[in-house]
Amino acid sequence: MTIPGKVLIVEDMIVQAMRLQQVLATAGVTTTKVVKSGQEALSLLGEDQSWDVVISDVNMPEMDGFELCKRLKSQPQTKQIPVLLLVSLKDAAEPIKALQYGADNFLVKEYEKEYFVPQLNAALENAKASDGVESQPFNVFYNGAWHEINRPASQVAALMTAAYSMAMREKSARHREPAASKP
Amino acid sequence: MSVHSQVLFNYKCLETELGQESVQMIARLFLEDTGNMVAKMKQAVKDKDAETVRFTVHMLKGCCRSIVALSVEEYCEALEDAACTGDWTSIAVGVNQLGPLYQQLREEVMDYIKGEN
Repeated sequence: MTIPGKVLIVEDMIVQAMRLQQVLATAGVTTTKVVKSGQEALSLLGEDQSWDVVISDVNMPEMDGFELCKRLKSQPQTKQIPVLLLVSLKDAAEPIKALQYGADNFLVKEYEKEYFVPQLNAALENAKASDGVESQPFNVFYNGAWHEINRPASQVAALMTAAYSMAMREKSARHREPAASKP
Repeated sequence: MSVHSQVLFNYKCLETELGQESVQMIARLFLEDTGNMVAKMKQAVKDKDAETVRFTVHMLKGCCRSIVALSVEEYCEALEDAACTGDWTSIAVGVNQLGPLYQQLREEVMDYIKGEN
């Protein structure tokens, strides 16, 4: 099981960041730090690249998680740090966008340790396996347009598998919990 | 008075997992992070700004998930879906109904912090 030692969390909602910190602590992560914006993350990682992984929310004001990811992957000193995006799976284009922006994988905001830790482990194992692997650009037609992807095949497969597995879990969760009353 | 008969903040399962001290802290942060969200959504409805409704309700949904307020989370999810489609009738009704629902949750969380439940 791959448990990272140092995790940087990028999340503007402190209550969500705290919850994530607690899950990581129970999983054995020794050091976590929370920053509230992409800009703060860029500043911190510009000075200190010792972080094992960055877990970033996607929906943030000013700079979203995709943009943060793109910037980290474009800098020689930070491009090796795995970036995992916390997604909502509301948009089927998210996997394509994540690949285009260089994300290593997805995580969903699921705070059950039994679910989150294997999810994190799989994401990091796959990120390691794809590190340094040569990629061949290819195009995907989706939603009326072609999208160029230039990532290793193993990473594409890992990310798509993660997205599918999360969608399945969300779907089964919806069947279990009744809403208060839907709008 | 409760809008919904069901309890919205199930702190017991959170305490089992995290301990009382951590849940107290998370509960306080929830109140701080979410305090102005419904007002922001109401203003966005007046401005016909669906993106702000979507973004804000998405944030609230995540915060509700953090405290395992699953019913409100799912309500937010449905409202977020409506905001994505730009269906203004559903958005306006949804935001209007979210107000008392969120208020009930907020009161339950405040009672928990004060040790009254």
